[in-house]
Amino acid sequence: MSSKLIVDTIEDATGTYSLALGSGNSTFPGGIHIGGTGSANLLDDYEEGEHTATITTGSGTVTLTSGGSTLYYTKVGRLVSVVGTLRVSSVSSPSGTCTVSLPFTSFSPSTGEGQVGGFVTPNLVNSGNNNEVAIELGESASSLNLYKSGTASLADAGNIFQANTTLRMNFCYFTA
Amino acid sequence: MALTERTEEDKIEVVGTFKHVQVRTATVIERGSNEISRTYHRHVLAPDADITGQSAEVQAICNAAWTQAVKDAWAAHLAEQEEK
Repeated sequence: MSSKLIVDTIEDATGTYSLALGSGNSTFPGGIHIGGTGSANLLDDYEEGEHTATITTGSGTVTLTSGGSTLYYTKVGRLVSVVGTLRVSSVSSPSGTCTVSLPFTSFSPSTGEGQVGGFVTPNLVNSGNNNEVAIELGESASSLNLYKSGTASLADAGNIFQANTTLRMNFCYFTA
Repeated sequence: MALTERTEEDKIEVVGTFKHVQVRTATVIERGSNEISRTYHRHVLAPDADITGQSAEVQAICNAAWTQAVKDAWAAHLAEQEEK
């Protein structure tokens, strides 16, 4: 003879941990092991949010519009996905290196540089430039680097900006 | 009952070799004591960051974490990355 216990929610005494079996949300502050019990199997973080980005160039300045500086992120475990469009309101002779701030610090692998995958597509760039840009993320970095591509070697991207330039961004990276 | 909005730095983390300080700011909408929504905003401070505009708590954490040795190591790291 089988028996059945019907419950909506299982919760610890403090309400810190809960498992909603019907409607509602479950809460696991410590994370969930999936496919094993090692640290590599622990999903311990999920977060959605916004980051107000800044563009920094080797010299000069690039100022973003108030509504065009937001990047949106989703973090699952150590993987951060970022999307958004940055819009330049004004510039003051930007040149040299070019970096875009990030919502989380990148990780530092035992070998090689931090990895990033994705696309940045500029539009309405300064004259003399095309809209081909590569992104690179160093180890333990709080910003990613932009380089002009489409030529034999990468070049600093600081001078691609002018008023109304946009950067459509969509990339992923690992956090520290 | 009226809705109220407040912000709080609900998570301040010191991460990685170079003690980057990650700050999460939560915007909380409440009706009385009931939380209606919570959204997050993130920013990261590297050891060479200007922290004058940060909260007193964040400044204190930065100043504690960013010893001269950390700042020197970060500067050396940036120089090394520049050469790559």
